[in-house]
Amino acid sequence: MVDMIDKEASGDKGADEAIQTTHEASGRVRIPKLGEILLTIPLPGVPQLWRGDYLIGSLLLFLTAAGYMMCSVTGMFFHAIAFVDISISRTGRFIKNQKLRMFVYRASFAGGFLAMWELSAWEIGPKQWLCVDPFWFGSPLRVMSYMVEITLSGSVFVDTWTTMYEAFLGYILGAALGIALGFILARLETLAEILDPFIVAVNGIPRVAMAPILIIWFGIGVESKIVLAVSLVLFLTFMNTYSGLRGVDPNLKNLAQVMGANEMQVLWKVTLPAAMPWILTGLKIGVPFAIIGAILGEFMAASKGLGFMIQHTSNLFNIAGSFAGLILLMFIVLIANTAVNWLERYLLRWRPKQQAAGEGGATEVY
Amino acid sequence: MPPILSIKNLHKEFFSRGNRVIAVDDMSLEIEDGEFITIVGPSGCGKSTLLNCIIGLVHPTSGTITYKDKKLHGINTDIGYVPQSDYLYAWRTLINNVAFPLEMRGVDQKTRHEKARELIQRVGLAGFEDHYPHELSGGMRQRANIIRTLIYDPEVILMDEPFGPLDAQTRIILQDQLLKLWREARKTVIFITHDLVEAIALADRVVVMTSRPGKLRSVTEVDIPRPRDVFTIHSKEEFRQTYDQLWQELREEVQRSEDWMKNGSAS
Ligand SMILES: Nc1ncnc2c1ncn2[C@@H]1O[C@H](COP(=O)(O)OP(=O)(O)OP(=O)(O)O)[C@@H](O)[C@H]1O
Ligand SMILES: [Mg+2]
Repeated sequence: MVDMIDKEASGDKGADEAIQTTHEASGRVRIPKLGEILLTIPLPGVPQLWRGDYLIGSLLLFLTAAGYMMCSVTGMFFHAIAFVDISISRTGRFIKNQKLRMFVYRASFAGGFLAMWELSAWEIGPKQWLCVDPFWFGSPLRVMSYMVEITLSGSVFVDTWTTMYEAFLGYILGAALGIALGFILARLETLAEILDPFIVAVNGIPRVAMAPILIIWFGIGVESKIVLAVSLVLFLTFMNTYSGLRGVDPNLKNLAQVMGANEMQVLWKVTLPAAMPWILTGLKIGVPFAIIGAILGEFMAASKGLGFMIQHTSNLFNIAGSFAGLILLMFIVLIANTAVNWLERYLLRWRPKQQAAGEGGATEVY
Repeated sequence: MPPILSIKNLHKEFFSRGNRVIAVDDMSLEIEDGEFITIVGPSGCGKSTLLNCIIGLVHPTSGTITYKDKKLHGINTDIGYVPQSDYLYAWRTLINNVAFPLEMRGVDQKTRHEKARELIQRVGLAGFEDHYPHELSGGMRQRANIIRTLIYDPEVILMDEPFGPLDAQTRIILQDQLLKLWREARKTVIFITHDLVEAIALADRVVVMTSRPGKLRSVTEVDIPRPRDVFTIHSKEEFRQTYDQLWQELREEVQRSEDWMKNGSAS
């Protein structure tokens, strides 16, 4: 790396000398071209990614992106930004179905983004057309061809299945343990008070730091990843269940007893539904963490799984391969989130709409 | 016949934040089967605490409560309780809230819904059976709160300002309905209210409590013949007399309670 920078610096010096000599030879003051000026700006650290000769390209890319956003929508160049939003909604108005219209907008946004990415990575002549070197950034087509490749070889199924299996099992086990522990400690108040600082302390340990030990204990197979996922999900669901149960208005429980409910009935018909919003919040936050646990374990030591695949491909500078792994992960999280959201919407159908929306918004932050 | 409920020397203190608060002090009262008792008294004098002791949610510091000659321990499910604020279950629809006590007793869904629907109809909530509590108005919730206790037919019904949050018209209509229900079922009712007119209109006996600590100040029989018409009762001569007498007592207590608060805040 030091080598490269040195070489580059010396190259720049060479260019300077060349300018000087031409200047002296012709005897006239020569105004350097814009590109030459830009080339003299030192860019520490960046040269590998954005080399000087890409700089003009990146400017062009920016202008094209801005132009693209406006012209593809309004059919005119350089429309004032304030009109863009209005024009987008005007343009789409011929689609009557509101949901379909939104879908078309989103599809064109995604399509536009991918097209830009792809175009900028095309090679025309010796240089890339715009500025993005696919060696560093891949390109949609490369990602797709890699996807096809691993689909044909079958490894994508093994990796995706492994990660899903680890995350799912970790999630279910962690959630079950966490909820059960929450219920038990909510009942045993003294024990809960004794254990409180220890629980907080143990939960404070970063799981990345625990990973090496867990791998020694549980091996490099799926077990260590499941345990990692469990350790993350367990605390989240436990904390939420516990505080949810403790927060249930005692009047609600007392009144149920007055109306003839026995202890089991109070638990199932009053305490549980009253604490349900909190329990579900824990379950929702737990989803991405289950996957984080699995991936973390795979980064440490594994022979299969999406985390392994991402690390393996990036070690080989196969950026497209890593992107393929990221995209698969993205879809797994999306599907899992959707499932949990469905569960929540069903179980909390009694809640006022606004309240549910507010809670949902808060839980997305993790 | 022995009294259905008898309260003897009931005393309840609370300790909170280093302070000792006497909520109910040396209270004795006997309540006959089928009687309608109303309790009035200044705010904070211990009326709700008294009901909580009777139902078994609060353990008295000293004194006893006997129900049908048995000393009470813990919650007595023969006694129904309409709390001061409605604790409807937010995750249950109106009909399932009303049917909750029957569900707890293992009554099958068809029967309990039938019964709930009938009561819902009677208090004018028909059509809202499948609404959740947050979709009902305060008055509607309060009505649901009341019929939820009526549905399982407890021997004694305790009501803590059940018509408190209602407007005057709804209030008087519900008073009328309550009297009709009571006449049919002949339950024993203990009814707390701030409204002296309501207290006299409904009661066989009106209990006045002193300001804190809550003692029994007086018990007054109401000699207005039944069936009573709550819409016109306030123009009756007997009503006038009782009202004037009780109002005098209550005013003294409220005055004392206010003085107490002033002195309390000054010190
Ligand atoms: N759980 C408790 N802990 C501590 N103090 C309490 C508790 N419950 C009631 N008190 C105190 O006991 C006193 C009587 O309260 P209570 O609720 O019985 O009054 P109330 O007569 O029902 O008043 P209101 O008419 O305003 O409902 C109050 O001073 C209150 O502060
Ligand atoms: Mg009260």
